[in-house]
Amino acid sequence: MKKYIADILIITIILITSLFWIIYNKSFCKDTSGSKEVNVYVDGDLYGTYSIDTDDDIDIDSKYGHNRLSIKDNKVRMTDSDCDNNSCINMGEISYSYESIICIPNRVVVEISDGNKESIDAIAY
Amino acid sequence: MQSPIKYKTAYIGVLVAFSLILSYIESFIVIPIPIPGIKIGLSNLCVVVCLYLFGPLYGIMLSVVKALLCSLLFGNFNVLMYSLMGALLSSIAMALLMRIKSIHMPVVSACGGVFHNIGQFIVAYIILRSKGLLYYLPFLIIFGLLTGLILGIVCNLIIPPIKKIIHKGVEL
Repeated sequence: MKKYIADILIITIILITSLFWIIYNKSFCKDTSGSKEVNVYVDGDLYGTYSIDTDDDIDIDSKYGHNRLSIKDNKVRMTDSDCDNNSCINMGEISYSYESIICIPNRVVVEISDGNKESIDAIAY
Repeated sequence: MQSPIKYKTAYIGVLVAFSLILSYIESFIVIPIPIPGIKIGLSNLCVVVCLYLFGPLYGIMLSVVKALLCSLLFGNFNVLMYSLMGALLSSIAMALLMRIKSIHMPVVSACGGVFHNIGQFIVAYIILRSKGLLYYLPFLIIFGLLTGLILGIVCNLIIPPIKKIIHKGVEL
């Protein structure tokens, strides 16, 4: 057992860090009520912002490819993509803030934001 | 010091070919976890074997050549960026870790898997600039750790017989 102490230590450190990271992320993804927005980014630039309350089908066309996004009943999902692995479609629905759908081949990122993320509560002098 | 290995170049060529076959087989395996960029990393087996048999320099070179050829054969320029960065980072990490005597082969391989994912994440972050990627990184790290560990155990089993064969200098 003593022979493997360094091995066990490394694996535990990596596992614990990742688990804490997941818990930390989960605690952020809360269903905070209020106007949530769906931000679509292509290649790091904002492609468009849509409200999560209105049902809509969005076509995302860029030089990297075509994606089709559907917003229905406050849930967002990718319904069509011409990328080769289709993992973005398989990622399913997202509805919480800070969740995201990513299509790596087409460089598309769909994120849900709080709408009032950047606003300041109060300024005290 | 062990006797110099005959036909070193030929053996490394065989390893490159074998890693390409493994990458090809891997492209058929669909993992039912919907996370972008998730992979078993079967061809990491060849990199670990090369690292332990022929030394760190050859291991890093093999992993870079593997990434280049693999992207040219089965992918495109996008894939090349991701796999090259992942291959470089993971092989350098493994080459450094294998120098530490108290860390064994399965853990070296597991760290290789983890660093492959970190390398790919860095490229994805540069291209997409999305914080959403950070959400998936810990899942990728854990998955890389597990697959790397299993592959490392396999390496632990297959390296001694290969070593025996190549040090005998079998006529090719």
